[in-house]
Amino acid sequence: MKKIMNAADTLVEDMLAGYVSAEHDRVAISKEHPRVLYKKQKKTGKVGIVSGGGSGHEPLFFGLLGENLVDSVAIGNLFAAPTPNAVLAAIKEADQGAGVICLFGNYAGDVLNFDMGVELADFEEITALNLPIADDVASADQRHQSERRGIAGDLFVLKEVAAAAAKGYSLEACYQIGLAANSRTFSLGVGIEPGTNPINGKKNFELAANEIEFGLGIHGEPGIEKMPLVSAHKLVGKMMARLLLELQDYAEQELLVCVNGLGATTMMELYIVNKEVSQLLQQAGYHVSDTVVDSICTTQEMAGFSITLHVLNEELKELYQMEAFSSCYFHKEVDQ
Amino acid sequence: MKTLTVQEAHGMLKKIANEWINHEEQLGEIDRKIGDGDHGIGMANGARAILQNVTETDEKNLANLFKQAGMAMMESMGGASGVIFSALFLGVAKAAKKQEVLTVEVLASGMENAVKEIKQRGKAAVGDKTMLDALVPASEALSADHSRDFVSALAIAREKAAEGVEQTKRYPAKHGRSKFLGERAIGFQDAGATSVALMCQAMYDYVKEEEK
Repeated sequence: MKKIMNAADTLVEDMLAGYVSAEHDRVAISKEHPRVLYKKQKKTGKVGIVSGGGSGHEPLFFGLLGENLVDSVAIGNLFAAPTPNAVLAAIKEADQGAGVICLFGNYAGDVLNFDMGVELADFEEITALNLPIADDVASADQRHQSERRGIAGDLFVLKEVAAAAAKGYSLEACYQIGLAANSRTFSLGVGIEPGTNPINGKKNFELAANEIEFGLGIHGEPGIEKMPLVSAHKLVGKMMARLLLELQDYAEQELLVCVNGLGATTMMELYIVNKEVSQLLQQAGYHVSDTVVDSICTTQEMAGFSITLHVLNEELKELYQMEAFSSCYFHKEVDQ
Repeated sequence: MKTLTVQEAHGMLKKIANEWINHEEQLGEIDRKIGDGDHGIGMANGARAILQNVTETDEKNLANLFKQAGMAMMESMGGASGVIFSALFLGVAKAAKKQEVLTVEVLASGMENAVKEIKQRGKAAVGDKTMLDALVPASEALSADHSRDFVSALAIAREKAAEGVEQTKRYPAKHGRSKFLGERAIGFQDAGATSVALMCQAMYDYVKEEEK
């Protein structure tokens, strides 16, 4: 294994120190918990937005700390959910007097720890609600949508809930926005090369030379099937066929698209993917309001990508349009 | 041996922690087959935190000793395992309130607390291919007869836990990251259940050695 690091036991702390040094004018480490970062700027009476999860998926989750985005994050060990105390500290940092929403990927560990964190916050008289994001269509069928894993679709759900909070929506209204946004977010990924766990040097899955995993999860969880590597045109065609099935129930034709790299896949490849995605959506009669092509939800140097489609309605569209920026994401308000 | 002093209970906790540390590689290998392979790292992290954070100053009070062990695991591990495995020791801590010494009855009642808490938090049941498949039979074995001494009680608990681990090979996964494998998980044992069996083995080994 070749990794630039000091030691396994300082991996997360070293990374956080480096991030905060780079963003020190906007972001700081909580005095309540060393694994909690928060945005310095506060606005009294606004619903607080917490996110978080295991380390190793950078720039998620701290990369979304920012203006009209996330207020604080709870960060776990490598690929492990943050602890209940970290979640509690993040909730306290995000609390601006109107309650707090915690948004995180729908994994057993995250749900368990965020649930306990919210219970602890209740003792301190802070109302917090959990909203696990479940967008990976490969992980469960439509009837079990709420059981799906959370992957790159986190971005759009977080963006819209955070915009609602910034516009002064109540806790309950923000939560309803979150539920709607989450239910309208669909992602599908493929893995073509494994990533390496920097602590033990092990690859997170195994594939033969010309083989890829269709529907792979971001921790290397097996997907729908192993298949040979085919052209971008054929591969994206197969992925979009699956994703478009999920869109059938919606009358709206306006979408957000995210083509997310899993760590080692180049921007060149991601744009090639996006060419195929946008052509297929155009052919299918959809209008794409905004496209994000970047590596936001990664797993070390794992190669592959995911496609996320998010179906807008009038309210979500208005929320998405609100200006927002962080170290890894920028959206400028435009008149459409 | 019918009772353990606080010092002896601390010795047993250290034995459990070392058992997990010694099996870090093996637990990782088991987990890698159907999970993401980090169960060994997580358990060893939690175990090291027990060795580091639970000290002789915690030996004044039995409940406090187990509470410290539980909190050490929860804060050091994170993930699902952090909450679930800390519940084991926090369950015993609850049962040990106002108790001077650890008895089979207190340990059994603590395990029952843990089973209840883990079922409720994890929304899991026996047969779901989780650590409950080892913990529930071990807990039931302990509760079956409080009049036994530690060696004979833990001998049965250890056996039941190991049987439970074997049973997990027959089940598809319903929780955690291996849940997405479903039927493809059949044939592989659950890593969390294995950690419970290791804990029961370590407890048995400890009382067996102390008795000599």
